[in-house]
Amino acid sequence: MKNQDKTKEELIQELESAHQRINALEALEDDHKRAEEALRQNEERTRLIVESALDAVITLDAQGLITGWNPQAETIFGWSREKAIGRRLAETIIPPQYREAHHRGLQHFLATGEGPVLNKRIEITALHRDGHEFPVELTISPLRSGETFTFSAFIRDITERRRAEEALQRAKEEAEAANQAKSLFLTNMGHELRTPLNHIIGYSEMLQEEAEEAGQKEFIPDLQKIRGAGKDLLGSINAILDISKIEAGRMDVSLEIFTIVPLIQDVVSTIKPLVDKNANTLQVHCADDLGTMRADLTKVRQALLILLSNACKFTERGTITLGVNRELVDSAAWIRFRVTDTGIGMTPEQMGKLFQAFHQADASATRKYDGTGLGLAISQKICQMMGGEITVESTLGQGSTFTISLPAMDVRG
Amino acid sequence: MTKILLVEDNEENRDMLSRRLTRRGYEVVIALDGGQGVAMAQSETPDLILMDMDLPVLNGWEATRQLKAAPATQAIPIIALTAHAMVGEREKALEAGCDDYDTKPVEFQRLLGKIEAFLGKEASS
Repeated sequence: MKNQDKTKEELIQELESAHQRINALEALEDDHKRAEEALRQNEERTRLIVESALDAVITLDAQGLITGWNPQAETIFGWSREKAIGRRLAETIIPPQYREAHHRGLQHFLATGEGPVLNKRIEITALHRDGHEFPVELTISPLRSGETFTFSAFIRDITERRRAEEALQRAKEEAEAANQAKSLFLTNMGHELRTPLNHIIGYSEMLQEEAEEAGQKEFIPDLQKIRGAGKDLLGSINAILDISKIEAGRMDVSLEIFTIVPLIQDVVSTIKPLVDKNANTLQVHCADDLGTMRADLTKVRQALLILLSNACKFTERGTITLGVNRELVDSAAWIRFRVTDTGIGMTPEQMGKLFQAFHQADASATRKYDGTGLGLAISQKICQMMGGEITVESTLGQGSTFTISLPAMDVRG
Repeated sequence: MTKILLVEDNEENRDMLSRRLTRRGYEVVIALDGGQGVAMAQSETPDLILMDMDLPVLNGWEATRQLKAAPATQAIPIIALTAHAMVGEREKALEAGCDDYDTKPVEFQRLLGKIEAFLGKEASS
């Protein structure tokens, strides 16, 4: 017998090696059990994630039959898991009019591996069990398993979001329409207000001329008052129309090259009556090298007159200084117009709201100082449209300095 | 006597401008719409035309184009009177062939300066 030929040592060796193999097998079995346990825990975790997801998570087989249906899917679509599993997805959550397209898409993918709606977020209409349709955001991912495919779908009900978006869009459209209606109204009103007002101003001018010719001088001061009041009113109406044009984005600038000194002379002679009204003195300092600038002449004039008339309005028996000079900033020429007064000045808080439309420095000022509160808002906007700005420095009780800085943009610049 | 054709549909504007121009020694003839303006420019041969732009029948731009296209009237200077509020009115008036423009409401002294500038030029040339 062969075994009887073996030595005792050989038998012991065989026994030991068999024992080692048994140990190894047991170790393998332990590993396998641990792996199974890990897998089970992992699956449990995945299941919990899917169960607790705020999105509906649905899985399908290659035939389009539902194989997984989480609680959120039950909530969103109204189908319980028991009812849903095994149903055809298309007949469960896709409205009838889209089913044919869904079916074609699925067949196309299975035949070619192409699916334009796969692996991306899309927004579509879904069907609830009770028949109502609602918007959802949907992601479908195909998963290859062996020779076939399964699909997982993540679906979020976006009814609320869509409603909020639509409400926002509607509110925006309504606000825009209201703003346009306001602009149109102001344009029409402006015409209706200005036409008769211009007749009042024009006829009072004519009467003044006629009174002068006829030697009836006693009528002239009264006629001048009518004309002056008419001009003030026209100024307020024009300010309101200007600000509405600026807000509607319909204000334009037409740039031309002009010599600065004649503009200053013109502005000074225009503002003279207002300077005299509060017993103020006007000092004008123009640098020798002012030359020309390229800007909208009418609008520069308008901004200067607004700053000067404000200075006159808020200063009594004081000095108003208009200084104009040319400065080089980074080799570009700028023109600076400085209007300084020795008037009531402002606090930092008052200065903060200065360039907002419909604001005077404060509400009580509205009582004492008349005006639309639009002048500075208009001036600032038109200076910005010409590439410049207005800045302000002020000390309460001591006076203010407003500076218009505009790029010269002329040949020398 | 220097003759000015005023084309203006608004009664008050017409009245004011024509009276003030007449007082300064101009002969003023009046048209109430663009069509009449073109016809009177031909029949009256004015030295200068003041053309409102917003006119019935034929607007000021079209009337100007017709006048500037006709050999008999193309040399007559036309000053456009445009609405102050309107954006791009000046460019539109000059494109149509107007020689100058002024905004309404008319600032009479300024308009007078423009009229005299043209008629002076006419006389010296």
